[in-house]
Amino acid sequence: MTPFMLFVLLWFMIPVNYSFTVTSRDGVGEKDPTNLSEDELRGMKVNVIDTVLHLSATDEIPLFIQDCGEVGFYRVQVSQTLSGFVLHTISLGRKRKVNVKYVCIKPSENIVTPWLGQK
Amino acid sequence: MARTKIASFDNWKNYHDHEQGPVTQMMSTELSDDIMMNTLDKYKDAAAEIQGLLKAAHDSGERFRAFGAAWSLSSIPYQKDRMHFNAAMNLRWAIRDNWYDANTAYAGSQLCLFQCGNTIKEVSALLKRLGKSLPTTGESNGQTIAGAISTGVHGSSIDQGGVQDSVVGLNLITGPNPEDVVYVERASKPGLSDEFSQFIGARLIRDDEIFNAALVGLGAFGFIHGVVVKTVDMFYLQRYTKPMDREEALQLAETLDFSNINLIEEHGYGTRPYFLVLYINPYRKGGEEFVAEMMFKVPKPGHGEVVRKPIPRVKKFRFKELTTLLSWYASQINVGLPSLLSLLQQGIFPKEENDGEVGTVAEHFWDSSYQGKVLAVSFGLDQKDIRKAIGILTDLMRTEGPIPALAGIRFVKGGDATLGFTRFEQTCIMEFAGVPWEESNHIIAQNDFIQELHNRLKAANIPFTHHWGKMSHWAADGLVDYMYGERLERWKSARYKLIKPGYREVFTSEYLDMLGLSGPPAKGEVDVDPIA
Repeated sequence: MTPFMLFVLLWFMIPVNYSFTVTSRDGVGEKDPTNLSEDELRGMKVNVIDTVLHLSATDEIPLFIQDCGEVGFYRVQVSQTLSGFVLHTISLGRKRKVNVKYVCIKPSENIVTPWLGQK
Repeated sequence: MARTKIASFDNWKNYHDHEQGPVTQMMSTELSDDIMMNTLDKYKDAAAEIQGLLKAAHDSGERFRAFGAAWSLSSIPYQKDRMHFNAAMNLRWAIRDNWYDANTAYAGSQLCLFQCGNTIKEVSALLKRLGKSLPTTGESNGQTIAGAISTGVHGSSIDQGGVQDSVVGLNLITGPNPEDVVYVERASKPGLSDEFSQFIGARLIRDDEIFNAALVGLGAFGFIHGVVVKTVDMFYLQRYTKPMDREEALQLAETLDFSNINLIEEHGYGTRPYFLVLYINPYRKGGEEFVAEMMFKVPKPGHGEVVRKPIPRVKKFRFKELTTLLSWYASQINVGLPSLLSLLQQGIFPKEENDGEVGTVAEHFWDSSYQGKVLAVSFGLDQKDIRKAIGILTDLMRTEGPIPALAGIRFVKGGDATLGFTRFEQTCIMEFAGVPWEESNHIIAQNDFIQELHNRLKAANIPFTHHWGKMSHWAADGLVDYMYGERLERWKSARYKLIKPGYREVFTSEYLDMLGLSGPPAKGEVDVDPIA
């Protein structure tokens, strides 16, 4: 492969590395004081789904079922990596690398009755 | 039963990545998950758990420091022995009128009780359901209520105090015995009845000196378990920016007289804003640049009325390393600063494109995200001194710098807290914010810059204080004495009255040692009568 071809390949492949995050407007994320990561999930209790799915041609969109209590997810960060893209391509779509980080909404009582008990 | 998890750290850092040091036990208490237990019993159960942790710290001869979001830039949340993360303790209630004292100073349906770990966002969530609001918050909403009041978080609501000035009562845990769970209010401004104190399992203390000292207690007045807060009816604010010339801006800062000024045409001549900040770039070619950000009270938008909301659909962040890298670059060769300041100005100055947004306090001062290391230094000043002080600051920024920071002025009504940094009747907050820098041949050391600023303010006979949760040259000789004078004695005496011997050492830290705040009052320990 010539340097020019390598450059063209990289030019198309590097943008495959990206991530995006969806967050709840009104929720508060579950906290973790031991998380000192240097990203926007710092200080939060982060759960990770990092796996490779083996799919057959008849499988539909995979659904990951996670326990986040009754109130749900505060933040979900989905990352697409170059290695995941390559794996997906060379396996003709049968292998899908999944890299998701998520934070649940902080558990909270008093949701239904905000009043302190009567005398 | 409530349960506490324990971890340890070789080098704990605060939220803004400022290194603090090792922590032997990093504790985190979670509420009981017993579905048969009601919420009040969970609250009392959590109190019992904390009492056990305090006793264990005492018996081990170790210190114990509670903290919340760890947003403070100073070392106030840090203690090497035992730190307690309280964010999972987040019960919250509105208080029914029948718990109000017969002589209460507060109108009905106004008071709420928040457990220590509620963030300002959680506080606002409950209040929204009740049609209420906090009168003010900080610039964002991630601080816990206990942390916010302990350090004196403020906004820039010109006729309101800081967050701590909305506090009516404090439920403190000062030791392991039943009488060590107390509920403290001002004697001069009672709120809730003795029956209420008993209901939450606390002993009532009504004492102005103790309440005002404990209000900004810096973690030294026991474990803040719950906070009773005064709320206001929910209201809406509309936001604008306006470039101003130096003289006009400083005249406004000195007087807060809006009668002869037309800030925003839509709101009419002489309208007083609810919120005002003046941003200053002292490095702009052709003279300083002042930009005012202001918010006016407006009616609630009608049903179906389309208004611009302050919370965006998509929020984009700049690479956090960019400003840090540019700061280093600028300090090394002293030519990168213009691009750095341009970046800083985009991040710090309000954006004109957001003008006209309408929202509640909780919506305007919404979430912020981790941005890497930041610099923020805030001075509390008497309003009459603001012109002189801003002159000193911007002059120093130009002559000793340029430093990678921009300046600003905020306004907060003075409060009653003994060590509240907003102690001046009309407090002006003079601040500079940007990225931390290292000393080089081209830039003065950060602490030397702050020390020089102290020296010049003192030489000009300008009294000042510092925001406890922000940066300063905290180790400077006599700093706290200069800031608070005789108030220090009152604070220490109140502390010695409330906290019994043996537990005073538990509720202190290296930070308080450094500031000279952990010792006894000058009149001596034995002369202080404990509170009955």
